[in-house]
Amino acid sequence: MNRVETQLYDAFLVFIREHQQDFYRLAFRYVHCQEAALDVVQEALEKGLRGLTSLREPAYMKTWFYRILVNESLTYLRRHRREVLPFEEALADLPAQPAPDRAEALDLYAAIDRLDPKLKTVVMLRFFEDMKLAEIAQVTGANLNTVKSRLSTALRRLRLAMEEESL
Amino acid sequence: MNRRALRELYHSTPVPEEELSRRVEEAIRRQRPRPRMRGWQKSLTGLAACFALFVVSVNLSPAFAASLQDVPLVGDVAQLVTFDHFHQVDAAKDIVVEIPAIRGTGNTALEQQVNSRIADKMEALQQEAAQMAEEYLEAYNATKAPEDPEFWKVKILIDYELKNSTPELLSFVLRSSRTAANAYSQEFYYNINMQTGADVTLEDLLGPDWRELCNQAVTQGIAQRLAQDPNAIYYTTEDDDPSDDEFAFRTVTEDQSFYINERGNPVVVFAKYQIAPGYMGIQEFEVPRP
Repeated sequence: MNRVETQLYDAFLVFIREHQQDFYRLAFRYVHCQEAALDVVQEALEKGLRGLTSLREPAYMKTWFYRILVNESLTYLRRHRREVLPFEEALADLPAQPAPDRAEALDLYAAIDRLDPKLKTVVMLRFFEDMKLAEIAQVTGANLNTVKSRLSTALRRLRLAMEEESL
Repeated sequence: MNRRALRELYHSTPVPEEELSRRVEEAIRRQRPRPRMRGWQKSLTGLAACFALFVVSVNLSPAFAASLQDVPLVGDVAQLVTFDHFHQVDAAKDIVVEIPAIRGTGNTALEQQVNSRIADKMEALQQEAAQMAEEYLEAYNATKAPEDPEFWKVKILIDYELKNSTPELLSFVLRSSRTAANAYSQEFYYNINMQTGADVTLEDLLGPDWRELCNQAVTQGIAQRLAQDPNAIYYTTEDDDPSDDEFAFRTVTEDQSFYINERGNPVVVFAKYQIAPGYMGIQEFEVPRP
């Protein structure tokens, strides 16, 4: 490796050691299983490390790696469709008796978990990872308008889900 | 919506910290960068690069192409050379454009016709890319928070690639790539009959059964790739996931993208995401002529 590549490699190691928990949480919300989420994170990291030369600009590291991570999660879902835990079981990890002000958030959270993977990706990156729409477009490889429309579809469905819940 | 409570819930997802660190370190250990190549391996690579350089130079440098024009047998075949080249940087983008033109056919009218088609398309691609970059910048400014990093200029490369050139035909692709965190690119294929200036069709190359021949090649190609690579995935109507059914390969279309390879066979091309998930990349299938 030359000096620039070594710097990029070192920066990537710092990045992944620092954010490993974020990667795990995101993967877990797709696959709903500890072992599977660990597999997804490890596989994504290995892909990232192998393909690091394709990352030209260190500033794009986050969206570049999240793209690999999200793809890896979706691939896992696709391959193991029948084995993935239903979300009710996955929600067992959450506080059993939420405080009253958290109850509504918990319903919403469960509704997010039930969105189709594409819509869920946009919602999670926007609200849990605080990404901008342009960054989400980079992660998902969709254009900006597609991201905007997925976000508004997702929000509409969540609103509907919440209304049903309160009936 | 109570965003803070929502985010707290998300961050309360339990993380098996020890096991996670162990897996992270294992990934790092398994993918350690490889040691440098030995000397003799390097010199062999250099030799191969010399050949590659020759091939590329014909396409890239007008001066180089002009110097080759005097060599017999090369001159009567159309050459695709860089006619104009520029690099421009502004707030939204960093754009490199390589505009090709054909020359060396001895048929000026035909050359002009092809070159103006190329110029029109390149102009349209530039405008489209510039507009996209502006939209990104606008979206960034609209949602900007004080601690955010600087806007990353959208990198745009608009260029071309020669696929095949014979006295009878010319096959090339014009390509527009937008690179930010990931690469997004569009390809436009041109196959031109160098006698008439008309577009070469799949029917010209494969005969009346072109559709069946192409479909067969694609179906077989997909089956072969699935058998060889356990990670390969194509959209299909035959699994229990209806969400991708509309993208499953059914048939080549009237306006099917293709180019003509060095063997003179058409190669049908499907854009990223067209028949397979994005990470499968552009999908190409050679269709042998009957």
